[in-house]
Amino acid sequence: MSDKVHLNVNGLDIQSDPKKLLIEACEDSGIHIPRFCWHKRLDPVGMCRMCLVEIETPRGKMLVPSCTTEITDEMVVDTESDVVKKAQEGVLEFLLINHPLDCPICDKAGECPLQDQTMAYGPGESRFVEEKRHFEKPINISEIILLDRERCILCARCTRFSDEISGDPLIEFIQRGNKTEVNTFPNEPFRSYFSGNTVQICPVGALTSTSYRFKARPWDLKSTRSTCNGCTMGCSIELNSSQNKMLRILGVDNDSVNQGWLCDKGRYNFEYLNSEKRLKVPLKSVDNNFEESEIQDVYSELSEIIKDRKTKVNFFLGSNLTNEDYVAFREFSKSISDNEQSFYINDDLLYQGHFGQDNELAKIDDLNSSDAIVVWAEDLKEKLPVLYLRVRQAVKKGVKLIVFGHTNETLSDIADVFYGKETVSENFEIIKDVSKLKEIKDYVIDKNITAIIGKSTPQQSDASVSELFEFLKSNANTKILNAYTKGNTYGAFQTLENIKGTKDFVKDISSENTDLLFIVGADPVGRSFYSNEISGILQGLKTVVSLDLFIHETTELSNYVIPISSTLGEKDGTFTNIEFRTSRIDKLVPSPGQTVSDWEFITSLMNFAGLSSNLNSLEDLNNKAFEGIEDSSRPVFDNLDKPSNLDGIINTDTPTINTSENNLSQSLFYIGEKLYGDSVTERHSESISLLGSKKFIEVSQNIVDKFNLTYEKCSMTQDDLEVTVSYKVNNNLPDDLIYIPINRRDLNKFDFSREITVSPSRVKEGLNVN
Amino acid sequence: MSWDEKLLKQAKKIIKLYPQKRSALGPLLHLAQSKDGYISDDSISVISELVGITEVQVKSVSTFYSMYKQEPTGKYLLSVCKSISCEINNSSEVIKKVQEFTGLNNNETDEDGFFTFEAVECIGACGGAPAMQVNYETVEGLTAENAINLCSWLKEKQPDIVVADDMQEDFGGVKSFDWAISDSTGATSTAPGFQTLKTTKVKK
Amino acid sequence: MKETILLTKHMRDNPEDSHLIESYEKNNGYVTARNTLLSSSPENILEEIKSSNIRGRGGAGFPTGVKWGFLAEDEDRYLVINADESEPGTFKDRILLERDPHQLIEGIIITCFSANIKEAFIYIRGEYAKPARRVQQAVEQAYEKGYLGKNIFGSEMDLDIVVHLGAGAYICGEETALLNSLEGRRGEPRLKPPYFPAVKGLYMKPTLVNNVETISSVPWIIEHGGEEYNKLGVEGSTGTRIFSLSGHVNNPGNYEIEMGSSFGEFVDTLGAGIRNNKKVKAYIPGGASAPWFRGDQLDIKMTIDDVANNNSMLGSGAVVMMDEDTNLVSAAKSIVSFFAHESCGQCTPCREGTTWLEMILDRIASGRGRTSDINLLLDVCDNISPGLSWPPKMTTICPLGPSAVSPITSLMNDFRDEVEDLIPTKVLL
Repeated sequence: MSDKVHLNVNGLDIQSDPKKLLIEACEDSGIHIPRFCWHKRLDPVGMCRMCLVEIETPRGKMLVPSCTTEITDEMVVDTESDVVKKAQEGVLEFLLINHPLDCPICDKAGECPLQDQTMAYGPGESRFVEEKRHFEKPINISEIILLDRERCILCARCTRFSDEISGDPLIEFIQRGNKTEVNTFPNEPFRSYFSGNTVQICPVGALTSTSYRFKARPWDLKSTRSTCNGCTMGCSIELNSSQNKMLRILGVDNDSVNQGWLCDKGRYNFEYLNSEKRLKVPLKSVDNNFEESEIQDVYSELSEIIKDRKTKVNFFLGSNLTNEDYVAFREFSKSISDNEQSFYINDDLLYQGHFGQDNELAKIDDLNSSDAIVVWAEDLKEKLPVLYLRVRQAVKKGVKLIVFGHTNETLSDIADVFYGKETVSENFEIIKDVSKLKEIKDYVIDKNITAIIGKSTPQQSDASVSELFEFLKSNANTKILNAYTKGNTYGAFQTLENIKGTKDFVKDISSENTDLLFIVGADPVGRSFYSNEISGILQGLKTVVSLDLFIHETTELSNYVIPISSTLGEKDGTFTNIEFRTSRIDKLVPSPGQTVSDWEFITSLMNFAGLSSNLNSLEDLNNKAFEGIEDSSRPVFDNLDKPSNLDGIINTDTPTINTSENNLSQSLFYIGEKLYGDSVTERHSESISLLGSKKFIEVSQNIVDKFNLTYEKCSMTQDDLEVTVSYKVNNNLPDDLIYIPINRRDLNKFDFSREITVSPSRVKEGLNVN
Repeated sequence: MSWDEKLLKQAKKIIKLYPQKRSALGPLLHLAQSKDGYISDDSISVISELVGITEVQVKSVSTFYSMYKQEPTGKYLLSVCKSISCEINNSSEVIKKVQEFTGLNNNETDEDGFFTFEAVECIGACGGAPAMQVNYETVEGLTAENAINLCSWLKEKQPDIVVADDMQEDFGGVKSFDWAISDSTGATSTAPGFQTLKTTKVKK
Repeated sequence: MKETILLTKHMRDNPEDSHLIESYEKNNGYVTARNTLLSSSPENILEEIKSSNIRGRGGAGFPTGVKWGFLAEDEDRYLVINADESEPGTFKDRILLERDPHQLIEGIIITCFSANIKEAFIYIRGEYAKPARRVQQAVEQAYEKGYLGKNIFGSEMDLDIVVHLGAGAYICGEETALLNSLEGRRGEPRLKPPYFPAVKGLYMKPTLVNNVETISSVPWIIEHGGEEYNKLGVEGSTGTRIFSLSGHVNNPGNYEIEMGSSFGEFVDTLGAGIRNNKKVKAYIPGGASAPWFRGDQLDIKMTIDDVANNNSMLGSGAVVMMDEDTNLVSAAKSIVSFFAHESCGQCTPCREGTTWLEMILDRIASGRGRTSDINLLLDVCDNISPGLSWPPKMTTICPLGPSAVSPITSLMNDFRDEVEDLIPTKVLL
């Protein structure tokens, strides 16, 4: 006896869950009702009037918008009557009277709901002989998004997305009636981290991106589904290419993870794939110069070093690798030594975390079903943007939100309580007795909690993070999302043992214990908090092999540089996200020149060196990666390709993380990372490089006054290093704490344990280009 | 912030009247209108901060309503009604003559910043058609000739406050109903003369 | 026929100072409110209003007692007085606000007592600067005397009134658009369901939205009893109403009458007939949204039901007379242009359709019409209001779209030749 609701639609009996919208209930049963403004993930507004259908009422048949009508038992619906057809034709005619005849030059043509619905439901001719409405076309509403107001049908999807989902309403309707347009405020462009989503959901070609504009027609595109590896969310994506060039990434609606949304970095940071500067040939350092080399020679020389199995080898692994890559390195290390190997991953914030039997790990969906969410982690909007969207969604549904954070305002607009600098000290410790905080008592004690817990900054002590979590565990029914943020970190957790981070790398590694170091897909010299130390270490090692896409500061210090293919788009494999959900990564385009996959390189080296290996293919590695897991939930390729598993398979695990403990340290600075920076891939991606290359710091007004800063720029000096940066005033910062985003080269070269002198810039602010 | 202490204080008092801050957006925009004669980008920034919404959200509201002007207005806003009752009572003649006299088309302001002309929708003076407003002070039962006389008088006298009853007496005709007593209050800017906004003065 | 003076009594008797509290109190003002708060009960008041059978005076004509009965339970409830009178032809609320604001305030006090409401808003259109001043002054006077604020008349009841100015948008007269405007948003109507004001109104709390005239009638009803009010007028249109008469009449103005007489009688006696002895070509019975009646239909009664049975609406009670010399195409264009200008822009048919209708009429009026334009006009109207029936069906969110259709259907049904005359049948080279 189910509590399903029965409807009669066009004479057919269909069933649906109660409280569903009529348009959705019909859609689920295969009856398509045309629409523009309704979107599954947005609140319905009934504005376009395209979805009008007739329902029987006591007063006769009534035309209602099916997107705002909830189904009731025994409802009788007609979606094909003459009245409905006339209404549909009428609405389309109305939409087209002011719509420009841009199809030949419009990006959307071929995948355009307006075109498709006009063909299916619209009039064949126009009766409009008046002058159409005109706007300047198009206008840049941000560096990467263009708006053509003539094409806009005022469905409000973009404005509703920005208001409801991403919480940064920087575009809105202005004017009234027939003169209504979407626009931004002058000098306040649409700089949202999620602006690309509006381009995807716009039902016409009004919103377009500079990245894809005029590049291809949808019928030219080859597509495949894959997983983004930009952060640990692992959003489902669709890759589009034409003529073997990657052209576009779209968000795929994965109900459990990203629900169709992507951050702009995940969406547009693929352009580096097509960069001229991609490494295509192996390089070898000879007398301080790099010379091109043959891959066979590299294998040969490296084999010489390792074949006696006495060489001390270490690995510094980036987070852009697939699970199969990690397994390949693991097997390699086993084949050259019987000693237990530590694997260092490129994460300044790595610490023990909270795993194991005692700790219940959360799924992202748990956010929606909790009583409250507690956040004590890095700025979610910057590091895990789509998780930030999921948190917002949960709060909208009524879940309480408690945030501990003193410097950023992220989530403070919707948090039920935001504990700022009175509760969180400059050293990122919680300085009040948590059990006495009112909101904790009201919302947390004895309730169902999802805790998002992680370190906010490299210098933070481990204890300060764990203390809050231990309290939550003892006083509530708590599940935890350990907020590690970098790429396939969880894939490393699943496949490697004895994992450490950059801090331990700096502590452990020296020429005494390392003859050969592999740096795989990482640029710690250019990006890490420990840049200077790492630079020193690398220079003292005998042989350093870098595997990467481009040359950068770290490859400059290497002996061999191997060109590799990008995990994004050029490789097959698997990826594991923050829920230990493993999903497919698919190859769509060929990689350039002599590039090889990381796993290909290392297994080839093993073969060349005659080291034992029964790993001859990617499938072998894939099988090896998930050996211990029982068949039905093994995330091997065959299993993942099944339709029911396309969203990924979860296999929770207990990683062996052996970081040394970080104790309380006095921090003079708050070190963080913004979503955009000038990392290796970003500076070679046209769109993203416009957004994140600027060097800046954040200071309180107190510092501005103290050092007499002017002209929006200042100088930071320490010994011989001087960097000119812009500064922004952020009065949430404690008076003397400076926020420095170190994912910008130069900014990470300071010694943060010592003072940095801040002084007014001697360079006057240049002309504003934007 | 370019709103002085006094104006900010007034703004905060207005915000306190409502259970939710955003409701004060309407009156604050009237305040901005009274200060500059239009809704400047700067006022939008100030208001967005006071109310706690983004600037484009403020602009979205301010551009929806006809009384919040998007471009600078003159000292006197001449609003002549063109809706049905006035239309069938020859308001088009009044509009034509006033436009000729001022040399302005619809929604235009003259170079001296003296008059702004607009042909508006029903102002609720249908019994005294044709009717117009000067800074939202209504004058009913105008002939085209008297409308021009009123404009001339404004140009000559340049009163600091416009009082409806005075203008009606000198230039008006049929009224929608008996206005009875005058309390000599009037408007001091192109925002409606309303006590809470302090855009009203009493003529001495 | 004569006027029946209820609402306009005080202002007629005391023209010097009817808007001031001293005058109002000298004439028994606030006595009913005081008695209500000190010795009546909310249920009693609701009963009286129900038995008066008074219907809303804003335009929709919904029975007020029923509306009050729908108000959902909640800690926070609001009353919003809709003083956004913008329907062309209507100026009745203006006289009530300007000349007798205390009557409205007394009505508000009694209403809030009955509905257990502690905060009321009076939303006055921005162009009504003088009436708004009078109301604000009256509110301040009432506060001074302790008739507003805490413990009114020494009773347990608290009440605050905020006077809020609109800013030039006719659509804010629609109750849900008004609530959006009052919340500091664009004046866009909300979807009903689910946003019925009685359940999810201002700030998503239960809200009563009532017209000025309706609430101004409350003190009389409570003083004399609902039964007495019910005796006035006719069944289905009880009590008195102020009708605003304008157009080509000799005596335009506001007239308070019991409903039941014919339009012809009304215009001839109180309006003193048409100027220059002209004949009536057409007239609008209830504001610009109402379909027109012909000059030979002056015997229709001025009641909500009789007008409705003749396929129009009594609406806001604004009667506009158009004589035999009127250019009806210009008149229709003026009304369509009004709605096109006032459309909020949310939904496609109204946003695009009303402007398109205006453009076509403009071409016809200026001699550039085409023979296909007549059917085109009607078809566009049909796409806004399917079937062109009465009461109108709508493809739109709110009735503004269908309102724009009214003058066109009136024109085409009864005065088609006037349109055809303007359309050249020969192609001019």
